[in-house]
Amino acid sequence: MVRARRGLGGLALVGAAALAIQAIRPSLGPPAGAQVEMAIPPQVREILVRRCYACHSDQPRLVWWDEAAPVYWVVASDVQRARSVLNFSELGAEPLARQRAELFESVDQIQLGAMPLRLYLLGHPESGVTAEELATLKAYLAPFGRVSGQGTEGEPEAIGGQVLPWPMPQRQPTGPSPNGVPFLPGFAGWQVISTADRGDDHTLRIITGNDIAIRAIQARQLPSWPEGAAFASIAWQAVDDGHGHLAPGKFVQVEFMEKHRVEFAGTGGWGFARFVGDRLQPYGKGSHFDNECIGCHEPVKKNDFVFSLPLPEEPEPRGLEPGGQRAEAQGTGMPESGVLRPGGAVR
Amino acid sequence: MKTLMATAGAMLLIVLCGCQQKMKEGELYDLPAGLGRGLPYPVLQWEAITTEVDRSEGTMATLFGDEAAVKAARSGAAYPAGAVLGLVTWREREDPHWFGARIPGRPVSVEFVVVGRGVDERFVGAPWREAPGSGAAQMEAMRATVIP
Ligand code: HEC
Ligand code: HEC
Repeated sequence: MVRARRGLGGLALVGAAALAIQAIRPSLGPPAGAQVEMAIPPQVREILVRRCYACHSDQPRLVWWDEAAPVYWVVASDVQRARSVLNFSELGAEPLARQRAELFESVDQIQLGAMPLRLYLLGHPESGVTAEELATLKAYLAPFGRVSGQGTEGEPEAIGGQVLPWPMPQRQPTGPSPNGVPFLPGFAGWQVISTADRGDDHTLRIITGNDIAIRAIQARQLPSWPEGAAFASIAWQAVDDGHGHLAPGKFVQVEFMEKHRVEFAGTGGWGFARFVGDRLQPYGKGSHFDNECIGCHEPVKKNDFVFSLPLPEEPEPRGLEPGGQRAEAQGTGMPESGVLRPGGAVR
Repeated sequence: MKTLMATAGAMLLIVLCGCQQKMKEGELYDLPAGLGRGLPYPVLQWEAITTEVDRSEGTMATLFGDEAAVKAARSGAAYPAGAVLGLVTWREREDPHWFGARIPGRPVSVEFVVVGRGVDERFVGAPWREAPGSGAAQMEAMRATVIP
């Protein structure tokens, strides 16, 4: 009897506590920012409203079980985090290029299964983006949709009528990256790990990796990149000659990722830095600007946050195989190191 | 409460699954774009001079050079005789990681030019077959697109 009473008392206590915590409710009212929707077709907006506005807007939509604490706390914190990185209700106030970039990032997060949040999908079945909806978003963005030969793939705003060479010889940035990640001057001498034709922002890119990164590729030790591995993504405006033939025009920026697990623990173990324009102006405001970098690289977490798939290591060239001393046989007069150094280094 | 427990359980599942998935080689390296054996120079180990895209062909090409070629290209000087240029052309493929980007797919050809020596050879097909090259003039002019 006493026991049963105690049990009831305990239940009542739990009930009271459950009620009491309902009073602790972080507010989800609209933030102060200007409400400007993007100028996008209704069928595109509808998809975003249906699938994303629950978190990424000034009109968070909660179902009844979201309203009860402690689930509410999780949801509210998701919404606040979501809004702080991307708020569709206010995105229209941003420059067009920024809006476009956010939409591409959105498609990418959906495609790689990162959005809507997986946990959210578990609690809200059938909230995921359908294949059809994804196709609609992609068709709208149409990165390579422009007819070739328009000559509009990024204007060649060459400075002083000249197109800048790469690398910018002995150039140094105008200052340090706001997060203290160093500029790595040797990047143009590193081996190419990939190239990218970016239809989303009309750039051509060469991605290079330092020796530590290249050795990791040779040793096939991916996906985890070793301490000290570094990459550079070098971007130029893509200039169309009017016949669908694109060449690099104005230098846009160079971006770095350098692996130091402890030092850069807050951003996935990578130090991120970007230097913009021919003056190599450090990019970003405040020491946490790199949240933007890791935010977009997050969906490739299983590749250790690296987007590029490196070109596989070349087997030894024919010239190095027994009896195949080709360069000498040809007598081309090339510097030895340029052709025959095993391990391939002309750096 | 049920939702919470389901959520906690699901979280655990995600964490567990996340650790155990072993990735396939093709998710780690750009395997289709590998050049394989049979080329006379380790062209991918050289530095890049420039990169271009041909929308109508659906190809992307990167011009590499040996030490002498790269040095000349970057100082805006003419290529010295004997410098070697290598132009690798790939069919473009959609970047599986980024909607809106294209990356190297299957290689189409690799062409080597030894400046001033009349050597111009093109490799096509898989395995590589040697064919006469005709791109020497174009390749030697390519650096002008990025060097003033
Ligand atoms: C349940 C809430 C929720 C829903 C629904 C949701 N997101 Fe998110 N989203 C977040 C949170 C939280 C973040 C912050 C990053 C993180 O914690 O993963 C985020 C981050 C993002 C980012 C990265 C922004 C940056 O710059 O770092 C993009 C892009 C994004 N979401 C797009 C979408 C799209 C598109 C949809 C709809 C298909 C969507 N999200 C639906 C919660 C949500
Ligand atoms: C909107 C998404 C997005 C944002 C934001 C972003 N990146 Fe990336 N990043 C990419 C994509 C896609 C690639 C692969 C293709 C390329 O190099 O363009 C990439 C590649 C890179 C690479 C080459 C290695 C790799 O992962 O393939 C570096 C280095 C890099 N980014 C640095 C940065 C830095 C530094 C920032 C922040 C200042 C940043 N990124 C912000 C999308 C993004």
